[in-house]
Amino acid sequence: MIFLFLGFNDPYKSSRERMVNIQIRARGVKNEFVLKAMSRVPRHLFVPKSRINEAYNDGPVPIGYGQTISQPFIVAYMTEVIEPEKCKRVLEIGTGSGYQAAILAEIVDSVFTIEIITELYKESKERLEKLGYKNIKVKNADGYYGWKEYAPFNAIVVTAAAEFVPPPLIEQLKDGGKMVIPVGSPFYTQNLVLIEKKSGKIYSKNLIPVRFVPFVRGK
Amino acid sequence: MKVKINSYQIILFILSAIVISNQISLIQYFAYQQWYNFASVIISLALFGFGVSGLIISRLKKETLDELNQTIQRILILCGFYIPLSILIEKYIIGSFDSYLVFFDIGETIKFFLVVFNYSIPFCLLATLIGLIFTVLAEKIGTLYFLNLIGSGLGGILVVYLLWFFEPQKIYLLNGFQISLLSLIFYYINFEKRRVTLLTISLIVVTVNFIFLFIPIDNIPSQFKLLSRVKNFPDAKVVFEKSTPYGKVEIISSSLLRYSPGLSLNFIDEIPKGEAIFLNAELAGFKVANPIETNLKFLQKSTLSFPFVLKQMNHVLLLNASGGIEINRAMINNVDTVYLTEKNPVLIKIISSHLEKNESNRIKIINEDPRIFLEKSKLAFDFIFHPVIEPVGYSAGLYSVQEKFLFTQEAFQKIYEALNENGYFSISCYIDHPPKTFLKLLNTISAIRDVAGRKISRNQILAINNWNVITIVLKKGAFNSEEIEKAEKFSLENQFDILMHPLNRMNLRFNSVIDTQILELIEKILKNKNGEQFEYVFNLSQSTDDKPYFSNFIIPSKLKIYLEQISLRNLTYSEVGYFLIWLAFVVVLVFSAILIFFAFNFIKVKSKNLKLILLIYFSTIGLAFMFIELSLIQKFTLVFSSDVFAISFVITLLLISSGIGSFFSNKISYFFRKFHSVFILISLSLMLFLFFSQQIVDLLIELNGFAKFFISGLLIFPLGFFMGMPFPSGIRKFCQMDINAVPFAWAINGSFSVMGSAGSIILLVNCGFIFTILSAAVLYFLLGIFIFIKEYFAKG
Repeated sequence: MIFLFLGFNDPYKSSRERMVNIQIRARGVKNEFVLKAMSRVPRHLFVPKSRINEAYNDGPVPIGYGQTISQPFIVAYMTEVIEPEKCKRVLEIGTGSGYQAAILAEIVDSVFTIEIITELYKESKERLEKLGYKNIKVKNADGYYGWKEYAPFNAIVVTAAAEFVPPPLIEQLKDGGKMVIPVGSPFYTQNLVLIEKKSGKIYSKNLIPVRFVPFVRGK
Repeated sequence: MKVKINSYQIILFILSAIVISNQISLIQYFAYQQWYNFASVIISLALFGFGVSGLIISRLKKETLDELNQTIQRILILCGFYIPLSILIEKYIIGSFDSYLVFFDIGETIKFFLVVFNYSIPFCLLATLIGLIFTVLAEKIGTLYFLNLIGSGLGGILVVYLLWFFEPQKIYLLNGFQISLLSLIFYYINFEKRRVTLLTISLIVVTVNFIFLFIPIDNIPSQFKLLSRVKNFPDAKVVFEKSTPYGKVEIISSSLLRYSPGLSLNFIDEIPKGEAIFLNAELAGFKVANPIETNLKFLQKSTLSFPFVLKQMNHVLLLNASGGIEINRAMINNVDTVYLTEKNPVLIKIISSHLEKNESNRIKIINEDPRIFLEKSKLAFDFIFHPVIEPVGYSAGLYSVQEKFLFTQEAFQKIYEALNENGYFSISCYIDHPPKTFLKLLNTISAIRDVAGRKISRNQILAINNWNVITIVLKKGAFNSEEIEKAEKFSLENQFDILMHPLNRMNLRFNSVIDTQILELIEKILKNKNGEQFEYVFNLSQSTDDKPYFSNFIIPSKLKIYLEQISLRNLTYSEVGYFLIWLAFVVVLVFSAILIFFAFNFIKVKSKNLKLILLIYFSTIGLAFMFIELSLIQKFTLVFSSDVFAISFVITLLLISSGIGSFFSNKISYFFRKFHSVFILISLSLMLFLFFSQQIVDLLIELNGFAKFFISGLLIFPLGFFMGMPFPSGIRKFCQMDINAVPFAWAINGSFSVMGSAGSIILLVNCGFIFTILSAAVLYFLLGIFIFIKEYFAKG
């Protein structure tokens, strides 16, 4: 879905491949759809120009307004856990730069993404349009209410740590659907929590990423 | 050279007040913009200007009276000019920086050091003026040091008062205006021959400073502080703002603001909108916009409401109002009377205005810090309640070197004692990864002892969790079957899990957010009867009044494991406060080494031997003084329940008493005959203070208002009185040997004072109050021995 010319003469192609191999595949992300999407989407176009050299680093990149574009591994891992290949519609809360939406759009049928900060909304909408993503709908609104017109969703990706899960989002999640929420500060995602809706009941569980090897505890 | 001593003394007095005022106002300025830890570190580093001033003094022209007056006049003008300029440089040239990124973004690191350098210049200029006056009037050092310290002390009092009315940056600018006025006054007193250029420049600087007083200068918080993020919401509006010595209070209104920690995932109703209350740009609480007309049912569907299900609560003590929403929670659960303790009167006003008139007889608001209230109150409660202890999305690492006297072992014991028989205490926190906060809370709770001195047992603890919040409930007595049944029912209805069950019937049905190794650790903590420490990668040991740093989880000896498993980058993000104090210490060490090198090579002192003695003498008193000052600030943060009040009070009193000590140093040394005896006396008074410190603090906490200040003053005064003697006595003694000893001593003392300030924070966090005071006592004692040996051989 990205214009073909990006594939050619793309000076960042090798950086992206290194990112996928060293930061993502080596840490246990196996889903081929995700790996392919991560190696196709030009992450450097989603970071501020002044930070373009950091785009493929193994860490989050500030994008202004107190927001960051998540570490590549976290983006990949969040995408993998919702099993995107089985999803038709995915809702993202917190578009930010639009990078996570672009990764999802590479795999699923439709991505609906909501951003509250008007400036970020405008920038990401323009960026995603320029990159030719026709299956992403961006809205400048309060993520609390989700996007009722397009509900229910197979999966919901919340991109920033949340204090509570808004009831409308639970309602808009399909039965059997998955919601993923990061835990931690803007620069250090310590964990991801997966929330699943099964026969009307809601379950949550921690997803310990490979790099957070359990500590040596107890004697 | 005959100088107009009075004008020099007045300048010294006012400048000393301005130095402290600048220090405290800039700490407050950066505490708002960044985080409190960073503010202290920035200003500690900026104080390096004091060390550098010694070098400058040795190079300044001061041979004739005219040269000296011109030098002083120029520095005053420069300082008056640079203070408003420093704000402009920070805002428009360096640009705002984010301390959160200081460790891994080289651009931010450079900005950090540029900011430090920028603000160290006024300190350097002020210290140069003070040091210069010390040098030229060295024979009057007792009086000068007295004025220096009294001025500093009064500056401390004044700045706290001004913070009720002005924002810190305004106070800083006001200081610039005062200095520029001072330059004008100095000119008229000291220059008989008119110098048009100097006068014109002085007038221009006064005018510029005057204009700056009326220009609004914003202090914009870091983009990562919650206030900044909330202000980005399209309809966010600041509906209230007020500067206080506790920090700036702001209320933000937005249709997007909602607050509901611990909410059940099966809650399907509306969560009402409200207003968020911020203190120094960090969330201090939340209030529902219109509680009477709003459906507050969501408050009952939270882990935090769990204790209310257990029985009808009549008397409830709320340890943190969270802006009023927790009062709503208590009210909706039909509590008879709620006591709320809050130390900031502005927050009290906000909460009171939020309450309905018909509720006011059920709610007792007490303008007191919760810990102090617990120490003083004779009341007993059915339920003592503390809401979630940290904002979501932030690691406790931001607060790792901030004293939290409400979360110490002693505070928890007081809470337990304030419960009625079969009463409850509950506290909630977000679940962090790897788990630290709730494990430390649990460990601290499990150390509580009953009247008979027995540790509480596991059948008194119950904890439930949702996907990201844990609420721990401690009962004064064992949970009975009826309560357990209610707990199980409440959990099932809301799809919560019982993480700690009094009968060990743990049931993690809905939320698999705690892994099995942590569950084993919880078991160990609950079964621990002998106070053993657990082997865990983070520090879970109970924080105490000696080491009240609840949010410090780092164990320095486990650094290798952290680096292997979390990576340095993530570690510094998650424990940023702790690493920052080390960064500051390393920077101070490097700068000190450079400065001492320059002092050794560029300040001419008669002999190398004298230099060495000066180094040993002034470095020791610089270090020891700061160890004591910072330790007392830590202890008095508990007594006055505010870091700003503690800083101002301790600095003020210590400096005033030291000033009086220095004034009498010349006369009193006749009584002490031997120079070394002063040091032995300081060591002994420190040991005495240490021995009775617990009783002293207990006594002070019990006191109110004036009595608290008066008795605290009486206790600090003798210590400060003797601590004020070594500096002027040393200057007097060594300057007889060589007048250049003064700038050399000033440079050494300045560098080591900064080193002492950075070092004492590390000692306090890692080793505690007792150890730090003990270190100061040992330093003074060793210096006493050193002087004794010197005196002995000198006689020989």
